[in-house]
Amino acid sequence: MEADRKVKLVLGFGDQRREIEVNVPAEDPIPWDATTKFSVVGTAAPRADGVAKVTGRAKYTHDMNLPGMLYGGFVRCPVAKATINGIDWSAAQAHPGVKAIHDFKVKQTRYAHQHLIAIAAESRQALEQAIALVKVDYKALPHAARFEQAMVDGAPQVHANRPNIEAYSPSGREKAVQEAMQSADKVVEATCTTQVQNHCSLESHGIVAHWEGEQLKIWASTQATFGVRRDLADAMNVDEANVQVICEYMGGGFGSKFGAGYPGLAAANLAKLSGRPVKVMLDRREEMTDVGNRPDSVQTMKLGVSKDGALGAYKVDIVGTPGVGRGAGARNPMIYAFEDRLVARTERAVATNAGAQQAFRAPGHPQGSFALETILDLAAEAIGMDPLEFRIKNDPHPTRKAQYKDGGARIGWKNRKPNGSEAGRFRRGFGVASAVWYQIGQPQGAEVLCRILRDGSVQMRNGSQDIGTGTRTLMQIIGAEELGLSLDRVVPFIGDTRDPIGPGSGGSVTAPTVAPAARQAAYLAGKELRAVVAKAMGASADDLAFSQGQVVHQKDATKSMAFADACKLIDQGEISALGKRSKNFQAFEGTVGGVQFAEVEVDCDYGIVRLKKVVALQDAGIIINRRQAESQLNGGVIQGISYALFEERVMDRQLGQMVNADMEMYKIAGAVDMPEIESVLYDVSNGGNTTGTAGIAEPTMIPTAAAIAGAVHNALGVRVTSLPMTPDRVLAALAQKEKGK
Amino acid sequence: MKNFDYARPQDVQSAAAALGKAKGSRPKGGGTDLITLMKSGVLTPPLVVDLASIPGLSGVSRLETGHFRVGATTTIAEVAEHPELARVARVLTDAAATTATPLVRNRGTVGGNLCQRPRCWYFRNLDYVCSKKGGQTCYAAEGENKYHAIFENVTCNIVHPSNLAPALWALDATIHVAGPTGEKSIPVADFWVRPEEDISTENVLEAGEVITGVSFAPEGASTGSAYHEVREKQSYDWALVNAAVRLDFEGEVVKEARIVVSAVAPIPLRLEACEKILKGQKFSDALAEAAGKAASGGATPLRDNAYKVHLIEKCVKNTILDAARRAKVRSGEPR
Ligand SMILES: Cc1cc2nc3c(=O)[nH]c(=O)nc-3n(C[C@H](O)[C@H](O)[C@H](O)COP(=O)(O)OP(=O)(O)OC[C@H]3O[C@@H](n4cnc5c(N)ncnc54)[C@H](O)[C@@H]3O)c2cc1C
Repeated sequence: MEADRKVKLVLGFGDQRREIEVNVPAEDPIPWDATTKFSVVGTAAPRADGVAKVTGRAKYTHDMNLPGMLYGGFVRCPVAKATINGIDWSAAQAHPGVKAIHDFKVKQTRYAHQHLIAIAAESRQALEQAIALVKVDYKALPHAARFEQAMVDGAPQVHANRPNIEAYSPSGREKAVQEAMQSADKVVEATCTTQVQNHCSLESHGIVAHWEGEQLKIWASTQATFGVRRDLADAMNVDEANVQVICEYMGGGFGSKFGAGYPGLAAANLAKLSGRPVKVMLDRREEMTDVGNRPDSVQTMKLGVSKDGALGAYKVDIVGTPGVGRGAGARNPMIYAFEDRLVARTERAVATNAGAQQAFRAPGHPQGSFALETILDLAAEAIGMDPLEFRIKNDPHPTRKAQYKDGGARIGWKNRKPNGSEAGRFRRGFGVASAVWYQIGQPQGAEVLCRILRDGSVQMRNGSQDIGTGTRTLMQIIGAEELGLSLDRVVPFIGDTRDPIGPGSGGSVTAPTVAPAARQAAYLAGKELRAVVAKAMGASADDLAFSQGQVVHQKDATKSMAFADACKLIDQGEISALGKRSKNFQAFEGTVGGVQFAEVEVDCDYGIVRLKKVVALQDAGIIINRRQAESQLNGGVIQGISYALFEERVMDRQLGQMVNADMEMYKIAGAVDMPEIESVLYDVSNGGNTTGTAGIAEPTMIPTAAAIAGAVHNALGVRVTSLPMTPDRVLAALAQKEKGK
Repeated sequence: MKNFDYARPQDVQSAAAALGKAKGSRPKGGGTDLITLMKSGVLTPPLVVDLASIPGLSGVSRLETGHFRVGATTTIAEVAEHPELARVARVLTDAAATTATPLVRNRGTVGGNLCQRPRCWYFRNLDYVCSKKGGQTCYAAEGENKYHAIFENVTCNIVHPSNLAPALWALDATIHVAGPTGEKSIPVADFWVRPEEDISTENVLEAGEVITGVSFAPEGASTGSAYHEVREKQSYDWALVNAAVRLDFEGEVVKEARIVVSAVAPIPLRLEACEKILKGQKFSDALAEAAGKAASGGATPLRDNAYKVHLIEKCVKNTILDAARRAKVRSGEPR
C-alpha cells in the first residue's frame, strides 16, 4: 500500500491566491489547482446527450411503453379537508379495462386533491372512465387552505395532534440585539412577503414499474435513483439487490423528486397486483397540487446601521406555510455579513390545508434573500449610501468583493441615478443582490467505474442521475482529461442503479461528489494501463503520462505510443477500476460566492416591470464544463425572474382548491419576458476535493428576485415588498408613495 | 374526456343541420378552446362538427360593397399577418397579433376566437358548480378575483376573453351567421348576451347556428385605429384590460370615435361616455387623458381587482393616443 502524500496547492483566483498543504490519499491523483494546465476541463463541451435529446432518441420515463403495460392514476378528494366515510369502487372494478386497485387507506384528507386510491387500467381512457365511476363518501370539514385562514384564532386545526402554528426556538440573543439597536444611528424596518412557488418540472412525476418474478424493474423520473431503490425495496419488502431503478434522462425535478413517492408506491403495487407493467405519470394539476412547492413567507425585519454604513444588529421574524408538511423557514443568505451575536431570528411554520412543501432549488434562500436585501437597500437609502458600496463595505467574501466591482462595471452601475429621481411613464433602475452556497460534495458519496477496453474506448459509469445539470457529460470530460483523450473516446453511462452508487441530486452536491470519484476511477485505471505499457516497453510506469491520445514517455518521446495501441496490450480483455469519493480537504473559502445585478424599466402607467439586463456572476470552483455551467447560471436567473415577476400559487378561500393548477394561470416566464442575461463564471481554484469542484445549481437562483426588486426600488423610489411584482402590487406601491407625499 | 361523435361536413347547411339535431353539439374551428373544455369535462358535446373542411369558409376577401370579409375559419395568424388588413383595419391585425402563442394563432380561428368560453378559473373547474354551470353561487364574487370583472359584474364575474371582439366592434363589423333557418347578419354590437339575460352563454347564437364570417368597412385615410392590452407577462398571457379604438378625423377634429374595452366585464363594452368626450373636439393629449379618466366610470371592482380600474383609464388613454398617431394627428411612433 502506498502512503498518503503531502501536497502543496495554490488555491484562489486572480490576485487572491494562497498556498495550502493537503494530505492526498495514495489512491487519489494530485488535486487540481490554480497551476493545473487543462486540455478539456473548463472548455465549452457539448452535452454528451445533446443530440439524443433534440432528436427525441433520448427516452424519458414518460416515453417508456412496455408490452402489456397498464396506465395508473388516482381518485382524489376535491375539498381541502374531509373525513372519508367510505370509497365504493365496485363499479370501477367491474369496468372491463380495470386490472388493479390499490387503496392508500386514507381516513382523513388534509388538502384538496389528496390521493385516495390508485387504479390501473388498459388505456388512459379506461382509466379516466374508471376514476369517474368511483364514489367517495366524504364529509367536508372547515379548512384553512390559505395563510390568513390558518393564522387566526379559532382557525380550523390542520393536524389533529398539533396546533397550526409551530414555533422554533428563538436564538436567545434578543436582549443583545435590542441593546445594540438602541445605539444604532438609524434603524430601518420592513415586512416582506413571498408567494408559494411550484416546481413545474416539464416532465411530471412518474414511474413505470415492472415485476419479473421477485425482481422489480423501475423507470423513474427522479433526482435520486438510489433513493427510489431504497424506498421501493422497503415498501415492497424486497432486497435492494432485487430492485433496479433506471433514469437515463429526466425532465427536471428542482427538489421535488427525491423518492419513490406515492406515484412510485402506486405503480409498484398496481404492477404487483395485476402482474403487468404499470405506468403512472401525473397530470399537470396533480403536479401542481400533490408533489410539493416552495413555501411562502412573511418576514418582518428590523436593522440597525451606523452613519458610515457599518451593519449593526438585525432582528427578523419569519412565518411561512409548509402546507401539511413541516418547516417553512426562510434562510437569510446574506447573514454572513452580520456578526452572529447581533442576529435575532424567530421562525414559525403555519400548517395549512394545502399540499406539503418540498425542497425547491436553494430551499429558503430566494425568499430570505428577497427580504434581507430589501432591508439592506432601505438601510443604504436611510444613510444616503450607494447600495453597491454598502455591500462592498460589509461583505467579507473575497470572491463576492471582486464580483461586486466586476458586475457593477458590466451592468453600467455608474448610470444609476438616486432612488426615485426618474419621472415619466417609463423609469429605469438598477439593483444588486448576492448569494452564498456551501457544497463541495459528499465524502464517500459516490463511486465511479472506469473501464478501458482493448479497442481503446473508455467507459465512465455511475448509477446516479443526470437531472439536466450535465453529470453525464461531466464524467466524460473528467475521464478524457485524466486519460489525455478527446471526448469522443469516452462514453459516459448514468442513471442505472446496477452501476456504482451516487448521490441524490440535492444541495447541488452531484457534480462535486461525482467528479472526484470519476477522476480517481480514471486515474486508477490509467495507472494500471501505464503499468501494462511500462512492462511491454521495459520502461518505468512513472515515466509514462497520458496526453493528446498518446501514452507519452516523458523522457524518451520516441517510445510514446497511441492510446489505442497501448490498449491492445491489455491481456485480460479490459482494465476496470472503481474510483471512490475521498474525504474533503480544506477549500479556498468555506463557501462559494455569487452576485447578480438587474436593470429594469418600469411602465408606471401599468405597473409592469420589464427587465433590460441581468448580469449574473457565480463562483463554482474549477469549472468542468463552461457551456453547462453557464447554462446553469442562465437557468437559475430565468427561474429567478419567473419567481420575481409571475409565479404564484392561488388558493381559493372557499373550497380550498388551488385555482390556477395549470400552466396557463400559474404564470411562468416565457422567452419574450427574458432580458439579455450575461452569465459570468468565476473560475476559483477551490480545493476541497481533487477536482476543485463546487455546486452551482442552487445559488444561481437565490439573488435574482432581490436584485430585480432593488432595481424597481431604484426606479420608483419606493420598495415593492411583496412577490411576485405584478401590476397590482407595483401600482399599490406607487399609490403608497403618492399618499406619502 | 367523454366519447363523442365527429362530423366533417362539406357545406355550412349540413353543418347547421347536424348541430341542430343533438342538444349540446358544438362546431369546431381550431379546437384550441373546445378540446380543452371537453378534456376538463366542462363541455360534453355528443357531436363535434368540424368546420375546417368546409370550402370557402376561410380567407380574407373584398366584397362588391368595398367592405372586407374575413371567413370564420381564417386563422388568427392569417389575420395578424395580412398586409392589406394591416392598412385598412389595423386595430384588428394588432389584436390578432397580440393573441395567445404562435401555435394557438396558427390553429385558432376567427369564429372560434369570438365564441371561446371565458377563462374564469371557477367556470373552468368542474368541482365548482358555479352559477354559470347551473349552480347558485358566483365563486369569484367572494373568492379569488384578481382577474375578474370590474363592470357589470352583478350576476357573474367572468370577463370576456376574446381579443378580436373589441377590435371588430371598433370597426363596427357585422357578424354573418348561418343556421337551420337560413342566414342572417348581426351587428357586432348586438352579438353579446349579458349574464342577466342568459348566464349560460356569452352570445346570441342559437343551437345549430355558426358564424360564417365577419365583414367591415375599411378605414379611410383620415382614420386611425389601435388595439392595446395590458398583461402581466409579455410572452403569451391574457389581457388584464384591453382597449380597441377607432378615430375618424376631419383635420384635427375627431369626427367619430369608437372606444371598446374588454377583459373587464362579462361582455365587451363600448364606452360611449368616452367617445362623447372626444367627438367634435380638436384632438389633444389632454382630451385623450380626459377620455381615459372617463373609462372607469361606474366601475364596481371586487376585493382583489381594483387595480384594473386604474389600468383601464391608462389603457384607454394610451390607445387613443396611438390611434391619433396612426391618423397622423399626433406625432411620434405608436408603441
Ligand atoms: C395559451 C393560450 C393563450 C391564449 N391567449 C389568448 C389571448 O390573449 N387572447 C385571446 O383572444 N385568446 C387567447 N387564447 C384563446 C384562443 O384565441 C382561442 O382558443 C382560439 O381563438 C379559439 O379558436 P378555435 O378556432 O381554436 O376555437 P374552437 O376551440 O374550435 O372553438 C371555440 C368555441 O367556439 C365555438 N366555435 C368555433 N367556431 C365557431 C363558429 N364558426 N361559429 C360558432 N361557434 C364556433 C366552438 O363550438 C367552441 O365553443 C389563448 C389560448 C391559449 C391556449
